[in-house]
Amino acid sequence: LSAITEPHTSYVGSSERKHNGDRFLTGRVEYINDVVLPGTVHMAVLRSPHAHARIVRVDTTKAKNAPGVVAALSGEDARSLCNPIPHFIDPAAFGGKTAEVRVLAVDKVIYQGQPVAAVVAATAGDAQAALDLIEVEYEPLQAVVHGGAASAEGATLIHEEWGDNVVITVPFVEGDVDAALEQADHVIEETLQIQRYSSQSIEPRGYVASWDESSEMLTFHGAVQNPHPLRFVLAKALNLDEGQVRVIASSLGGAFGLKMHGHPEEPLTCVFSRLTGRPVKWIEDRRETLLVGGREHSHCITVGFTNDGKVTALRDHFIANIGALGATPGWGMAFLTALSFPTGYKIPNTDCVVTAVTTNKAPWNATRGYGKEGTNLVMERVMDMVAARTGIDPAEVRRRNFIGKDEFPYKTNSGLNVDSGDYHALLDKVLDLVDYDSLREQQAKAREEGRHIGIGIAFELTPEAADIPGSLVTGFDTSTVRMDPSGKVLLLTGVTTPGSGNDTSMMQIVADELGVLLSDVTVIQGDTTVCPYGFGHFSGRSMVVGGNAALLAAGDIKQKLVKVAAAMLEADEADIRLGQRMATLASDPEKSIPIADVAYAVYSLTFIFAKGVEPPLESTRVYMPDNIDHTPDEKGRIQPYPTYSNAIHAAVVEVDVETGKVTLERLAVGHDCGTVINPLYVEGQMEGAIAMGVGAGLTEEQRYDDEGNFISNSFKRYLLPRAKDMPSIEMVHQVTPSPFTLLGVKGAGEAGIGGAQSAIANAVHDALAPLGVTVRKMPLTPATVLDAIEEARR
Amino acid sequence: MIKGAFDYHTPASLEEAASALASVDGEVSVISGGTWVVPEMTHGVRRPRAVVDLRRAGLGTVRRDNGAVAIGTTVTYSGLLAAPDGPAVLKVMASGVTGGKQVHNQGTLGGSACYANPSSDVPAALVGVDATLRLVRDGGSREIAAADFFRGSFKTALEPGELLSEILVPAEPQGRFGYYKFKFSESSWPIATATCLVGSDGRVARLSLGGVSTTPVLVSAATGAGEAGDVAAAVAATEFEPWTDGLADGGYRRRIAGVIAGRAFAAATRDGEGS
Repeated sequence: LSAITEPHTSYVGSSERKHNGDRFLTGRVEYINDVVLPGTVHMAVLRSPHAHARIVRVDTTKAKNAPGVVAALSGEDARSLCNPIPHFIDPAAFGGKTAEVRVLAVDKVIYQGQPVAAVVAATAGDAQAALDLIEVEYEPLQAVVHGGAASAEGATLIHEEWGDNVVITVPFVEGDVDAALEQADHVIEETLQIQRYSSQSIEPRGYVASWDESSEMLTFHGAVQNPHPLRFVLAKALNLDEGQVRVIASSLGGAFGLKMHGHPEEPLTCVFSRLTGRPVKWIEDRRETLLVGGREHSHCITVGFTNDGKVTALRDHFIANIGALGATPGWGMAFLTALSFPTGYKIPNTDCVVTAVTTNKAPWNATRGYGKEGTNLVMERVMDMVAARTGIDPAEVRRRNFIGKDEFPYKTNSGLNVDSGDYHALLDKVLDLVDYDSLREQQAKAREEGRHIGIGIAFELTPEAADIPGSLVTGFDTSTVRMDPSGKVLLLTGVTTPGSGNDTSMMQIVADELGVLLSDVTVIQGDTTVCPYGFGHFSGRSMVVGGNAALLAAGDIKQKLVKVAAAMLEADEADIRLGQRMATLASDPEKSIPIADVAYAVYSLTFIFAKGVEPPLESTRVYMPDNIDHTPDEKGRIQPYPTYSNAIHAAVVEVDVETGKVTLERLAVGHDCGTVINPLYVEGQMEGAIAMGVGAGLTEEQRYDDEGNFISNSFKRYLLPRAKDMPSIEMVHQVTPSPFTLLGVKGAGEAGIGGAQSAIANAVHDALAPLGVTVRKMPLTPATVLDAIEEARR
Repeated sequence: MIKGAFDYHTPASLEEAASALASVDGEVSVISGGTWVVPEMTHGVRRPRAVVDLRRAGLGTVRRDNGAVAIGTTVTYSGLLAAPDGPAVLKVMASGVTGGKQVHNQGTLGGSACYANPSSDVPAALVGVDATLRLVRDGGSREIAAADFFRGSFKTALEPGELLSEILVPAEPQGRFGYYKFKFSESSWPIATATCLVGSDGRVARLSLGGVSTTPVLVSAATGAGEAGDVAAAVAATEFEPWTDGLADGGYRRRIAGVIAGRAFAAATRDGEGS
């Protein structure tokens, strides 16, 4: 650990441009659809038109005889060729219910869009055309669409053997909420409906599976986030040893959780490749990407507080409509929403209970924020309700309820051990950034002119770098650093990249530690045969675990270089400094030797200069952050997150009260993710997440009709923000390093969605405060806002 | 990925186009820019046996025609914007069409008119400017007022074998136009549009609404109104079949229709061109 006690000045903390950015900008990067193997056939999937139906009969005979078709499978056919897909996170491991997930539906379909049959053909067009020739007879069943209806007495059951539609109920209760509500000066009861929405990477999913009969090896190229855990899943599903499976993650055009696995098409391409002996490609269509859901909660909130704005009690019993239970890790977001209460506020009495119900909508998958964005939205609406009732400024209400900077590490009611922060100072920074007092003056003037300007503030706590026990959502990772005889460095890591800058950032760490240039380092990620075992990217973990593991591995090599350089320069090891590709004596800077010469000596003059070190110059290290604790405490609570980045957002909006349309005027944020390795990427992550928060706040919604038909099946019906919808984002940083991670990093990437969405929601309410408007559902589309305005006028 | 094979015709003239259309058996789709037809074929929503692509048929010009402006059916939004004779209010409409440069360079007024999507700019704007559509078939042609052309959501007066060759817009009438479009966000289809001609007396001469109903709504009751409030009241008193799509229901569109009409009126009286 001597590594971090020495000053790092060159690369860490610097906004280095992405080392291979030119490949992306000039179109030379290989995305999954660029992977072309000889003899490839193309898969198309027939999907259920019904939300809920029995499958009476599937006949693929005509499809098999169609032009170009090589093979076709029904659910019954596939059942003998593929085991159920192992759950990424099985609810049964947490006391919930579980269900088998098959690559193609057998007996029954439980959501519109569920794969029912599939074909592979010479071209994707042939495969699509052949789908029309598959005969399926359905017997439609009553669809369960709404979360409330799913949990009601006598509801139609999706899994008859369950006895109800509840996947899991998880309570997080601390203190005595009833007593505290009794004693509170004020009590407010409210409801809040959070819409179903997801993340839509511009590159959809896609896979190329290739079974080699002679070696009995499966090579799986995929737009995937977690190659090693996926290898486990594919091996289980296909009855192979993990050693027979090689997963290679292609360059990703965004992931955001969508490309975490458990999707039926992953094993299905492999099944077809084994069946046909041909490589099988499947590229997702946007209509398919849009099916994958997330969030959708109905919150019932009761909050008790004092006249001076201190919150004493919070109850939130909410239903999460997780759609059909898939093998993807989406359902766990509902758990995390409940676990994350009450974010960064000290509330002595809390009673937060999630009931996750299954319905006939498509399954959720993980999506950036992983449920924590929902907690932040509820908490920030609560703080503004308290401010509105007490007449205390919303910023001041937050100040009075925040965890104090001297109280860290702070154990929350649900047992999370929040590492570090200074929320009060961060709030001041943001208020300064937007010149809050003058904003309020401008708002008052605008109101006199009949305009509806609103200012919204939102705090956001983002637990990062999760370790979920019993799953391969794991809180450590592994990196290998190798210096060749040429003095060049190869970094292999179990952390993967969604196309962001975690690769360059890790190179910066390694280059600093070894005293070489950034251009001396090559990084390889995402190949299970080449890279050390790791878990990929999720939960803002890349720097926390991958970066720190790389630092440790580079530190090992540094020690060897120093020893050998000392021998070559006939000097003390303590006198050696590495930098600018040179090993130099601190006491006599004239005496130096190129690091490349030292490296060459390790390999070529081993028995002369390197007797004291073990060649080669290679080390594989694991980083396990402190502050993860799965031994239940006296209240049965565990601590699955090592770090807690935080942010404070401010939004300024204008509401057109004649149409309900919200126009974003300003968005500002102060962000604290601990030590910043590369500001460019941290800011890029935050900007992207804020844009998602704008969509979440104003337009994005996956809508279904009452029969379970999916409506939002194109970007004309699912409205993502475009550049012109976004104001420029004003950003400041604060750094309170985590005391529990090596570099003091906390994880960046997820923060932004919940904060921006909450700040916008608060700003809209602030704008409409003179009209007494409360909007009880998200997103704040013009129609929803106009409804609320008209309701307030009645 | 387009399912299966189809015949593809690229006629080099209007006559060839009409005869190609007449010669095809079964379902045929006519492409002007292709921004609707091609995605629908990709999604298998539309499975024509033949496609007649008009882009080489010489219908891509904007010209003067006896006091009217004739806009060829394959004139793109960009093409209209660049045409010196392009009617000002249609230019305002074209500049705001959702989809950015790619759609502006590819999408056409004629194609959008024939697609007759209630959630689009072109149909109601053509009714607003009192355009006439020239429909051609093998061996004949006819003209029809825009107000009579749109027959329902995605339905027009085009008969089998007929294609739209030109849109005739009366030369700039006395007065000023305002065009106002309301949408949810940059990528949203129009939720409601209004095209308003205000005469030299400052009163409404003609007002049409788009997006609110299955077909463009000509608000005759607004004629003569001199205040935005009166315009809105006239809209409120007008019956029309509500239009609902995946973004907004008919009730919401009806509620804001009067406001949007009032804004088009205000745009016309303020600066002659709405936003």
